[in-house]
Amino acid sequence: MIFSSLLITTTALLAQQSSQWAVDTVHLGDGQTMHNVLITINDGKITAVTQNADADDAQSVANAHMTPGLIDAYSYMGVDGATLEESRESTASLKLSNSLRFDAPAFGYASSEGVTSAYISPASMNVIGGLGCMVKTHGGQVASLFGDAGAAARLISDSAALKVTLGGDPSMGNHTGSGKWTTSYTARRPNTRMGTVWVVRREFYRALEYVELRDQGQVAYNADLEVLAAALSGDIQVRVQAREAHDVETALRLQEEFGWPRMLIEEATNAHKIAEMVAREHVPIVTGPAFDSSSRSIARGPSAAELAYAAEPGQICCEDYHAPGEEHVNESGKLELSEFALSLLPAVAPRYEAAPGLARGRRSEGSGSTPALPALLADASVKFAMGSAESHDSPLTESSLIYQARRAVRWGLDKDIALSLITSVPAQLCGYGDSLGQIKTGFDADLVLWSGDPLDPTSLPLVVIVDGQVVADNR
Amino acid sequence: MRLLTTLLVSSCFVASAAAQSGSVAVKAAKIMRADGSVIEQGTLVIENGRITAIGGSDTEVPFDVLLNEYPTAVVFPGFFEAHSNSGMDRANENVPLAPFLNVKDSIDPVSFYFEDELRGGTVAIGVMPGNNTVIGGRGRVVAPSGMTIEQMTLSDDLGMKVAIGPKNGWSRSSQLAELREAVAKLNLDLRELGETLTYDGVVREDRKKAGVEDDDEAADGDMYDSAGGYIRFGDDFAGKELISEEDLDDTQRGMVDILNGDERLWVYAPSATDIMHAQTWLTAHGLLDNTVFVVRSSAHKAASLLAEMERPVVISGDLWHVQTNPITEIQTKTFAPLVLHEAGVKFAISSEEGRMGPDRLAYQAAMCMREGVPREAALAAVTTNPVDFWGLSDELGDFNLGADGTFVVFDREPLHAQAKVLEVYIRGDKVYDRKDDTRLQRLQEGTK
Repeated sequence: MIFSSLLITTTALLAQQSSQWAVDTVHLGDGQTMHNVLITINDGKITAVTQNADADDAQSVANAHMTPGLIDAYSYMGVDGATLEESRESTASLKLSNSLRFDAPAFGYASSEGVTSAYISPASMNVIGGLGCMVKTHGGQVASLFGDAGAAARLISDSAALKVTLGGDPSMGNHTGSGKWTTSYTARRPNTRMGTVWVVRREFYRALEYVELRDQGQVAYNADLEVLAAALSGDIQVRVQAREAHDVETALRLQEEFGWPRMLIEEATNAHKIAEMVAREHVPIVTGPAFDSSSRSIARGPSAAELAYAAEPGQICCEDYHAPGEEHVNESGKLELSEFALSLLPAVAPRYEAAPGLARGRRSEGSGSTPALPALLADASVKFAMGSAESHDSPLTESSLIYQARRAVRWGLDKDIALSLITSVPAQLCGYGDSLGQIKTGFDADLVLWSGDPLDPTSLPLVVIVDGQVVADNR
Repeated sequence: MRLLTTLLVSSCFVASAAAQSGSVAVKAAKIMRADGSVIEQGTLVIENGRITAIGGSDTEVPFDVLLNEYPTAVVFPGFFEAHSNSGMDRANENVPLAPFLNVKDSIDPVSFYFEDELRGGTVAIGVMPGNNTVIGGRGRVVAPSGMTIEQMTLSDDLGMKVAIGPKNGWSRSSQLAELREAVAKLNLDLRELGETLTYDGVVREDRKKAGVEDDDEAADGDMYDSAGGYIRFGDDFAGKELISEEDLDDTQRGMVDILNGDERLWVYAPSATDIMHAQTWLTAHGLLDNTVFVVRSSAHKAASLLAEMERPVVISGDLWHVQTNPITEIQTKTFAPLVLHEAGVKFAISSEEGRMGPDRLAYQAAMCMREGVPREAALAAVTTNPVDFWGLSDELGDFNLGADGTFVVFDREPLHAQAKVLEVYIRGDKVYDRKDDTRLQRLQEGTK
C-alpha cells in the first residue's frame, strides 16, 4: 500500500502540466544562441522551441537568459563516509547508488546553482572502485521526514560507468609493514603506482580468461568479472581517474592493451602537458575542479617582486637605522650586495606559498596544474567536459559548476565552448546525448533561467526546472 | 629612552611618507570612480604621486608628465582588502596577550600572496595579526608591491587586534576572563607603581632637604618626572600623574594605549553572541567609538545591534551563512552582506579565506550584486569603505584631488567575469604590467 502510494507520487511528479517560457536569449547548449524564443514544455519534455512566436500565457523575465540544465560530469555529491569496500582493491560490481545519500544537501546546493543532472563517482581509494551512477538533482524520494517531496536526487542509472583509479590515491595510506606485520589485517596493497597498475592488469586479464571460460560454460557466475567483461566489450564506460601527465599516459597504454572501447579520463589535472597526445588518441576527458581550495595552484619560480628586484635592484635596508633615500655608509646598516649576490637573490630569498596546499595541487598531485587547463585543452582540440568533484558539498557559490565555467572563461576559454562543456558535451560523454544537455524538441525539460549572461558572476539562477517542474524560483 | 622612541617614530613616519611618488597621466576609454560612476574618455593626472587633475578628454596634461593612452580600457581605483592575516608566515604569537607585536616584523614582501593580490587589482591591504589571540598586536596598511616592508607601507597606524571570539581551544568564558584580567592586572600594577613613585618622590625630597646628592638623577628627566597625564583612563589613584611611558613594560604600554583610546581597535567578534559581549566590554571602557568589528557571516543575526552601534563592520570568511535545523536537518542559507546592508550597516568585505584566487574581491563584490546588494554598496565594500575604516579616505579609495595616484587599468569593467588587470600604478609608479607577468604567462601556457 505504502509502496503504491509512493509510485503514484512519483508519477504525479513526472506528469507535469504544460508550461511555456518566452525568453530573450537562449543558449541551446550546443554552442548556438537564439533570441526571442518560446519554449513549450509538456509532461517533463521540451515539445517545441519556436523563434519569434507569441503566447499570451508564457512566463517571461525581461533580459533573462536560458540554458539547458547544467550537467556535472564528475561529482561526489551525496557520497558521505565509507562508500568503498576496502577489504579488496578491486570491487567492480559494487554500486555506489546503494550507499548514496540521495537527500544530501549537496544536491540542493547544486540544483539551486543550475545543476540538474550529475554523474556521481565512487571514491578513489580502490584501484577498481565500482559502478558510478547518473542522477537528476531533483525529483527523488527524500528519506527525511521533514523534506519536501521530490527534494532529493533521482537515480536515472545505477551503472553509468566503472571507476578505475590510477596515481597515488589507491595506494595512499596502504602499508605492508615488516616482519610479522606483513600478515596483519591492517596490511594492504598496492603501495605504489606500479602496484596499482598491476592490480588493473591482473583483474582485466582475469576477466578476459573468465569471458573465454564463460562462453564455454566452464565457470560459475562472477559479478565482478561480469562488470569487467562489460567494460571490455564497451557495454560499460571505463572512467580512469588520472591526474599527473604520466598517469594519463598510463591510462592510454592500458586502453591500448585492453582495447576498452569507451574510456574516459577523469580530472586529468596535468593533461595540458600532453594535450596533443590525448587529442590524437581521441580519448575524452572530464576535468576536476581546477580551482577549489585544495587544488588551486600556481606555477613555480621566483615571485614577481623578486624578478622586479633582480631587474632593478633597490636597497635592502632597515627603517630603524635610516630613512629610505638617505645616503648611507656601511656602518649605518645599509646592506650592499654585489652583482653576483643580486643575481643569486631570487634563488635564495625566503619564499612562502600563498596558501597551504596551493602549490601542491590536489592531494599532492598535479603540482604543475593551471586554471587555464580548460582553455589549453580546447586549444589542443581535446574533447572534454567539466566536473566539480566535491565542490557542491559546500554551500558556497564559489564552488558551483557554473563558477568553474566562469573561471575557465576568465582564463581564456571561449564562452560558447564553456557553456557546452557543462551542458551538451557532458551529456554525450555520460551517454545521454539524446535526452539531456540541450534545449531541443524531445529533450528532457531541464532548464535554467538566468537573470543575465550565465557566465557573468552577477547573474543569478532565477528559475531552475527539472523534468518540467520548477524546483528553484528566485524571481 | 624617550629620545630613541622619538627617533624611531619619526623614522617610521619618514619611511611611510617617502614611498613611491611618480608622475603620470592617463587617458582612458572610461575612468570609473569607486561609486561606479563613469567618466567617458576620461583623463587622470598624477604628479609626484598625487592626483592633480581628473576630468574629460579636454583636461589639460602638463607637458612634463608622461601620458599613457588606453583607448579601450577602464581605469579604476582598484580594490582594497580591509583586513587580512595573509602575507605573514604565522598570524598569531602563542601568548594570548601580545599588544607589543607588530605585523611589520612578520610581513614577507616576496610572499606569493601579495603578488596574487596585485595581479587581481588589489592595491592596498590592511594586514592585521590573526584572530587566534586575546590582544594580538598592531597592523599596518601595505601596498602589495615592494621588496621591503618600508616600500610597501602606506600607513603604519592601522590599529590593534582585540579578539572577543575565543582563541582556538578556549571557551568564551576564558577568553573574556583573560581580557578582564588583563585590564584588572594593569590597573593593579599602575596603582602599585603610583604608590612606589609617590613614596620614592617623598624619600628623594627628604634626601634633597638633607643635602644628599642623588646619583641617579639624569639631566634630561627621569622616572621621577611627572608625565603630565600619560594615563588618561579609569579612576584617579595616588601617583597616577607620576606614571610615564618609560615606567611601563611593552605589554603595559600597549594596554594603556588601548584603554586611553589611542588605538583603533579591530575587534574580532565572529558571531552575534560575541558582538554582544564586545559591546558590553567596549562600552564599559568607553572604547566603542574606536572600534571596527571583524565578523563572520553568522553575525547577520546581530545586524540590528551593529546598526544601532553605527560602527564599521568587516565581513571575513564566507559570505554565506548556513544553518541546519537540528530537528528537520533542513539547511537555510543567508547572504550576510545583504542582511547587513538592509539593516544600514556600513561594511567591507575581506577575502582572506576566499576560495577563488587573486581576483576574489571583485568576485565577492559581484556576488553581492547577484544576491541583491545595490552596485554602489557592493563596490564601496571593496573600495571606499575599507579605506574609510583605515582612516585614509583622504589618500586612498577613490579619484579625489590630492589623493594617492593609485589606479588599476582593466581591459573592461572591473566586476566583469573576464576583466583582466593590465597595469597597476601605486602613487604614480607602475608596479604591475600584465605583459611582464611571467608567472601568469606560465599559468596560461601551462608548464610543460
